[in-house]
Amino acid sequence: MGHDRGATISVQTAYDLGAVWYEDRMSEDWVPPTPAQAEEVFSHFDLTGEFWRLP
Amino acid sequence: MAGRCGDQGCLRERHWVVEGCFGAFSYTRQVNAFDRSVRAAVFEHLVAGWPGPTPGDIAERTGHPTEAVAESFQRLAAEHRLVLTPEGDRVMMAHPFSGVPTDYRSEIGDRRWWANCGWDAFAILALLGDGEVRARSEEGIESTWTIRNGVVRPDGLVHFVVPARRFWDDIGFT
Repeated sequence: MGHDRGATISVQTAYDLGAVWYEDRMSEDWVPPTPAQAEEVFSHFDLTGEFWRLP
Repeated sequence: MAGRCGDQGCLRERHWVVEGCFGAFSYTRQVNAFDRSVRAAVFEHLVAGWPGPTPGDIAERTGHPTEAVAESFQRLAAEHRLVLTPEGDRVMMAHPFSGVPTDYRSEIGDRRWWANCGWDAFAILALLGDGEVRARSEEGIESTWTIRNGVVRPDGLVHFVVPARRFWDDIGFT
């Protein structure tokens, strides 16, 4: 598929990140995060670098 | 998929790994109030059970005309707020939930939900409460993680294949 090796996170980080990432996703008032907001969430979990960068 | 990863560069052998994906979002324009209410009803449906709703399911739940809901599904899909099946007849993904069977399942007691990927399976329990995540490998081997008071056991890794900036290139693969 031409994809690179990718990135890994622990299952605990996956759970904790999911709690933040999806916190208000089911709400009628949910607004998608901007790239800057999304990268801020990633960086809170030390997910930085090119793989986690958004356009 | 789930299983022991053969990529020595990114995983240690003792770890079990499941695939991750990015919970869909986009920074496109806002959707209207009707579509937002339909989207919320889709989540209510998916939290209550499986499979993903058809326009008729949401029409029954909300009292809206089926045709109006079907049109709303199309707009929501175009705005990346949900993903429809290839036939377009029901919701296939409303992240973190999957409307169709996958290799990833979240369970709380006798309640269960399908997830789009390993990360989503953990995320569903982060939203709904303590339980078990089950992932099945291509060989049919099932792995289970237990979450109690927000602590996941045993250790393991989620492997993200597609970079964040490209996840909507092929959301099914992601």
